[in-house]
Amino acid sequence: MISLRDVSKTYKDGDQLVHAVDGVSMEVEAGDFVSVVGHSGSGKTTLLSLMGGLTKPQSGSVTIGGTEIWSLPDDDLSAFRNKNVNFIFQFASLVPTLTCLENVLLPTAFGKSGDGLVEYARSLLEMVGLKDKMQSYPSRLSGGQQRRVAIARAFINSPKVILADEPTGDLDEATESEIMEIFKKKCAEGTTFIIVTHNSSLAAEAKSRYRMSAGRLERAS
Amino acid sequence: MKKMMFCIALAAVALMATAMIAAADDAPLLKGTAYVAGHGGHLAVINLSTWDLDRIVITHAGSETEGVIAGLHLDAAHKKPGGGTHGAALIGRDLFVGLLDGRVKKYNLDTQKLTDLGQVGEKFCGAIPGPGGKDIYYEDMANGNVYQFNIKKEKKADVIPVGKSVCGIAWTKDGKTAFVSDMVQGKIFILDWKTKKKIGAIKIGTFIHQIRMNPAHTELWCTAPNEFVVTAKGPQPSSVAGKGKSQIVIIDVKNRKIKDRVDVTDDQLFPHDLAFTPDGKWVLVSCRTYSDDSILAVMNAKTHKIVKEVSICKRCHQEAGVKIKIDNGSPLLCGIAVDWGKNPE
Amino acid sequence: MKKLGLNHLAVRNIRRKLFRTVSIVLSVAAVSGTLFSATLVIYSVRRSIAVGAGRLGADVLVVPAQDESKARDALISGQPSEYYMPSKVLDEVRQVEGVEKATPQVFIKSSPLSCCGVSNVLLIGFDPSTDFSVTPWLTDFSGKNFNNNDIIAGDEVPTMTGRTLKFYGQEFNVVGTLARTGMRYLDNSAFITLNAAYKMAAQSGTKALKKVNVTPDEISTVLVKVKDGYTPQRVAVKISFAVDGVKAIASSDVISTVKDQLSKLFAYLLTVGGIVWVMALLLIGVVFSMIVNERQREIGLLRAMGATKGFMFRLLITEAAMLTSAGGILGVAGGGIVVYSFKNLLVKELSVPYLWPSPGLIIALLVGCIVVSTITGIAAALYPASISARMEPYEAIRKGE
Repeated sequence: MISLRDVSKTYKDGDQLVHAVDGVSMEVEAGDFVSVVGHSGSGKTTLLSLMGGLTKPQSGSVTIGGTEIWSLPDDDLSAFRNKNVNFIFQFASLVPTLTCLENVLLPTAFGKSGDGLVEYARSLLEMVGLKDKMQSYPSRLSGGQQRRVAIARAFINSPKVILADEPTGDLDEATESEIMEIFKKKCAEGTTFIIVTHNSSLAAEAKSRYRMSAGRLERAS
Repeated sequence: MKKMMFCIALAAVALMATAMIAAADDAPLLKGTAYVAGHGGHLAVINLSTWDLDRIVITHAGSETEGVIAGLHLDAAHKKPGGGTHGAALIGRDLFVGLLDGRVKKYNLDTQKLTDLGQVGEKFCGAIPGPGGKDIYYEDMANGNVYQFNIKKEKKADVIPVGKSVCGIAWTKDGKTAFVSDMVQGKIFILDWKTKKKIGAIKIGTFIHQIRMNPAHTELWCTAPNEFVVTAKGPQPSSVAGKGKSQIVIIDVKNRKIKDRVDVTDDQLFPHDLAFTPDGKWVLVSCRTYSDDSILAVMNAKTHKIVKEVSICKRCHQEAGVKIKIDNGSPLLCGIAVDWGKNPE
Repeated sequence: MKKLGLNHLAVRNIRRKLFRTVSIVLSVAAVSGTLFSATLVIYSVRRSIAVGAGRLGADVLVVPAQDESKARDALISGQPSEYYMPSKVLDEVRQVEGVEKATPQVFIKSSPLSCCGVSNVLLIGFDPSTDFSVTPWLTDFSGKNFNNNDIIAGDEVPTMTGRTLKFYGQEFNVVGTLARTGMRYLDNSAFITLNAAYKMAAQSGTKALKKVNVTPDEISTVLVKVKDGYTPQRVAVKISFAVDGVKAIASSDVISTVKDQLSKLFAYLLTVGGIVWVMALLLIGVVFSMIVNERQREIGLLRAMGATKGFMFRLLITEAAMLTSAGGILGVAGGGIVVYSFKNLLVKELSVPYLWPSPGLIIALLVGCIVVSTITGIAAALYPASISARMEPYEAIRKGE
């Protein structure tokens, strides 16, 4: 499903060249649940961005479902992302001027359309326990609630891949386990999950586990 | 002996011929008074026998670039012309002076009375007595019209649109055809004088000024000082005035073609107006120098040689301690009118 | 619920910072209001002059030399005024080179002492046998010959066709009223025959409270049509020269007088408008640069979810266009209200005639001003929008954190 071949990404930090991702190769099967752990600054988020087509590697290739994503023109890459990949970011990533329901529907503004989308968005919000907050604006929600809206949004376009960066960071234990159940259910339905986390218990639930250190990736036991 | 006589005769002829040529290039003895209009708002008065200098104040000073030329503003700081004279026509003992603000003023040389005859045009260049002696024709450099001004009624009698920025007018001997010089277009327009319609043009090609017919009506002389560069935007002052050729262009009236271009660039003269002596042998040329003076030059009409140059601004200004504040400090004059045979009293 | 789209997102973004939005809208409104009101006034006055001059039908007006300023004022501001010159002027004018037709008119102010007539109206007597100025409208109005008991009333004269009007004891049948020109000289006048005017004057001594002192050897003006190949200005000069005691005015010179009066006002308004426009342009540019800076993370987020570069560019441009078109609409509405409310004051202060432009032109002006405002917004937002579009999604997200 996802194939990384010798992918590298460097940044300039002042005069210093930082190897955020350094020659990483990995294979992820469709429907796999992958966790990547590592210290802050080890390159986990950059790795997710490379896989999701958000930042271009200096070298190497990223293939999703047989498509070499970095060979696509920018508009095609955007359309590819909209159709196949969705993200759950580390930060509260909601648009403050849109209601929760609108935030969930946001990816559909750039692609998918259909009669049942609004109903589907409602069901997703219900799924994450925010049935009564559909018309609320993000400023009226707690950090955890905002995170749950972002999680609901990740499923609206039925992506093949979900790239999640600390998806349960703001959640209490009970909600975290509810979310994990949802993830597992969606994974069982064929969605591929790649989760970057500090949370070792969350990482332990993954089928494939990786550790990232100083830009290099290795399988965790 | 015969041989000797022949040699003496030959020498005498040679001597006489030399003397004649030499005499031809000597300054002539003239009698009369020249009145040359200047931007300072006064006329320079020159005794043509003694070359003594005086002046007649008509108005206050004004620069040529103030206000409009050919419908365009060249001087952004001065949207309206300040004053200055540019040409005068002498009718009897009255000087009818055209001003840079388009007014006409009359100055009587006997009574020294100055009368404002009102607004006639916008910005006058030439002031030329008409063929019948009843009218003066003022040429307007702001709008390209020629204004007919009736001397008796002292009012405007006609306005003839001709070009963009006209300066001079002259007529054929029969009065049927007129020539009007357009400064910015570098052309002399030919008009059927009865219908006042343009019937042709003589192209000079550079920035020109006044035109004058010789007394025999065989040659039309045109001053082409070339101190402005003619561009699509109209006349633009060249960075160095008169950078190009400064000339007097002579046109054959019969076939209406240029027959000579008298170059005065090397003399550092920029001719603006001309006045033929009544016998047509000599030409008084009023010239700017774009330095600290303007000059009245005397030119042989046949050989086209300048035989005399007289300062007509600096001499007076220096004596009076006048400091010029307009036109980059240069005293600029233009139109000339001459009272032949009468020296100033 | 409608599908989320670019316009929906743009509207929501605009609502985000109310003060900022209002500032931009008001600054653009000031520009468009100035542009609209200034152009509207200029067009109105020009139209009025053009309609009036066309109605006048004359290329040149000949008036007594000493009354030139009175005549010009009467033409422009329409104050009824009387002035007379010998009727032999007409023949002299006809002899002047370039004159094709000449017809006389006589002006009589209606009596202020009138008890049952209309006051403050200028009665214009014309000669139907030589007229080329009034007669063309008469056929339009009555379709019959105009006789000595008939009168045609200007738009501001309070009467209507079929009624009668009484001046100096003489009763006239109103055979038509004229469409408005905006020039009070025509709108506030009533036209009778020259003979009727002289007769009325002669009988005013016995029939009216005030006697009219005008005799058949006096006229007020001569209207002139010039021959082809002559300009009105040239013929005017020739008439002024050839005929003693008169001044000939080219109709187009009257128009240029008004234009001169207006040009200063217009230049002032345009200068102010230009300064405000530049400020608005800068303000919008700066504000949208700030917006791009503020929204970096959102830009990254939208790009991550599939928004194309083009979408991001259009989003910002749409926001700017919405704001500035709203400003444009507000401005033209405000400008229109101001001009409508202060029209009379304007006419009085500037001494100009006024006639609203045609609805088509007003609509064109409205649309033009709104389009200019919108283009202003788009132009100002182009650079920030291109920066927004060029951002790499991950970089935008990182910088926005």
